[in-house]
Amino acid sequence: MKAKTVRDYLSVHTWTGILCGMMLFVAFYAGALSMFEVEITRWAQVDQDRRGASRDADALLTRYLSENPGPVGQLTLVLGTADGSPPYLEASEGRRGPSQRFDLDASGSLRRLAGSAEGETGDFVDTIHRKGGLPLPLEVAEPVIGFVSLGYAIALISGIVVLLPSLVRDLFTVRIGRNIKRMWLDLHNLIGVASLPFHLVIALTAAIFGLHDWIYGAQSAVIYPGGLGSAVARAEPVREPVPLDVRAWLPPSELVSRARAAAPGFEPVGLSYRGAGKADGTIFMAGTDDRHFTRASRYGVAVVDPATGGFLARTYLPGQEDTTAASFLNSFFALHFGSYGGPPVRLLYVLLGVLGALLFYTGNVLWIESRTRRLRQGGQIERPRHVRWVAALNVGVCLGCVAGLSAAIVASRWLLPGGHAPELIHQGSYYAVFALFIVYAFARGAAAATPVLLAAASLVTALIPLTSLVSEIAPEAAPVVARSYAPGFIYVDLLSVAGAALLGWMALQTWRRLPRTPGQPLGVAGRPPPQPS
Amino acid sequence: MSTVLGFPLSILLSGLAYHLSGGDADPAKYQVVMWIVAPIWVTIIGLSFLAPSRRACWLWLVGASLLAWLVLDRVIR
Repeated sequence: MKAKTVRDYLSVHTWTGILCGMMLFVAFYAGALSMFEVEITRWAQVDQDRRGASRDADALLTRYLSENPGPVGQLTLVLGTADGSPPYLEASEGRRGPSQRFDLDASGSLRRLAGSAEGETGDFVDTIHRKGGLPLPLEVAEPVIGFVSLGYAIALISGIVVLLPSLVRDLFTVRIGRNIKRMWLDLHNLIGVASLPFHLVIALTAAIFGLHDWIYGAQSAVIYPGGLGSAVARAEPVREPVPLDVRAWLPPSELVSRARAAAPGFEPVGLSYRGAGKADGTIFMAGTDDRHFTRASRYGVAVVDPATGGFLARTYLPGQEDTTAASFLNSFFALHFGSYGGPPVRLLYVLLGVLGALLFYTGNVLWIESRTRRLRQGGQIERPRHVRWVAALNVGVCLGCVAGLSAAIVASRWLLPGGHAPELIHQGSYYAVFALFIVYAFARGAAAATPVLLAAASLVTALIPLTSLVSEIAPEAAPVVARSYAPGFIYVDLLSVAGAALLGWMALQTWRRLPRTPGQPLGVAGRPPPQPS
Repeated sequence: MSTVLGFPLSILLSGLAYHLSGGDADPAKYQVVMWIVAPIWVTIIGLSFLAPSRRACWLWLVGASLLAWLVLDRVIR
């Protein structure tokens, strides 16, 4: 390969990488956490005491519909679970409107529950993941993330091209020595190559999640005569009209038992009522099946005819899809969500996600190191302002996100019982810590701020297992967080212990590396560390 | 630049994939055809750096798009 070609790809790799790196760090780190979204919510939020609540889903639905005789909006019935959690209903006006939850209490009357899907701590983590941490509405942030993901795919390709000539020789060599840049580069390459397939999958799927509206729009105008709508309509099954009134649809228990019979291994967990009041109303039945790729992060979907209980579409039925394209399609979603194989795969995705975040961190550090060196060779001693800013921003954003997410989880557990709005607690604690870290990084300069911020992030993360410990050992000392230990908590606690330990170790390492000049404070902002070489 | 010109080309190629693989027999196909735009687009951008000059890159992309459009037009009819 020509040397110039390699150089061209290198500059493409650098620029796309640095622009996208910080957003991708946030998306990856929050994404790793969101693998345990359900467990995080359970850990952080107190469930209302629902002892004695009715386990009869049919009665709950009937009762709700008789007390709400008007038109039915968005309605989701979450079925009771084997470990004893009773069913509840989630109702909202429109698809994205605020929702309310109901169940039947011991006396059989409808009871409004505290909490809603929008206020869940796990959902907040997932939102940060989907927005890449941008404080913008989701509709705006998603296309941005889409383009960033596209740039990230380009960075992967160009990065591999740059590495190809020396791939075999250098891959497993990590030169830990006095040349810091060499070490960062070796680490960056090793992580990048070792997890390349994962990264390609994530880059391409995330690009689609961000840009699918635009792509469908363009395809509708260009490749489908009659527009996308006609292609979608042709894909819809031909069917008999169903009763307009939801009350005349088959009861949940009947739908569930028919689905279980039609799809062995598919365990229904919820029913979403769609298109009530229309002749083509359907029920989207969510169900788990850990043996196969699933369409959503924890479940697949059977599209059910509410009048007959038969399946209208097996497109999203895990492992039992009826067409090749459907199996193909589910694999895209499942490979992004890690929704196959249950907890072991989720843990693996946490590891891959955190390693991915490190890839962006090391990439940005490399950029800063090489800028500094090139300028120093030109006789410049001080780092120029823009390099110092990028360095400070990189440290502030990355570590601010790590600490901010831990802070939001801990703050939920301690403050939500006080009755504050969940959005306020989540956003407030996350962005306060995030902003504080960035300000500190700019004030002290990247080099001096790094060990301090790493130590701070480690401490905030350690508050998660410490909170669990307080709840276990001395519940009377802090009744607000005292809870019985639920099975999923162990993931949250152990992963936080590991995270806090890693951050603490990194803090120690970077603190040791700080240059110490007699008579001067440690690592003055902007002063490059003396480098023998 | 190849990002901008690569988009219409990848949309056109996705259209060819849809219509040349038996139309709308499979209900999930229109979704798969949306998904494949990302890998096609990224491949086009990745390859465009091999072009000897900016002009050559432009010509290739515009030419390929025109060709794809002509073929798609014939296929749809």
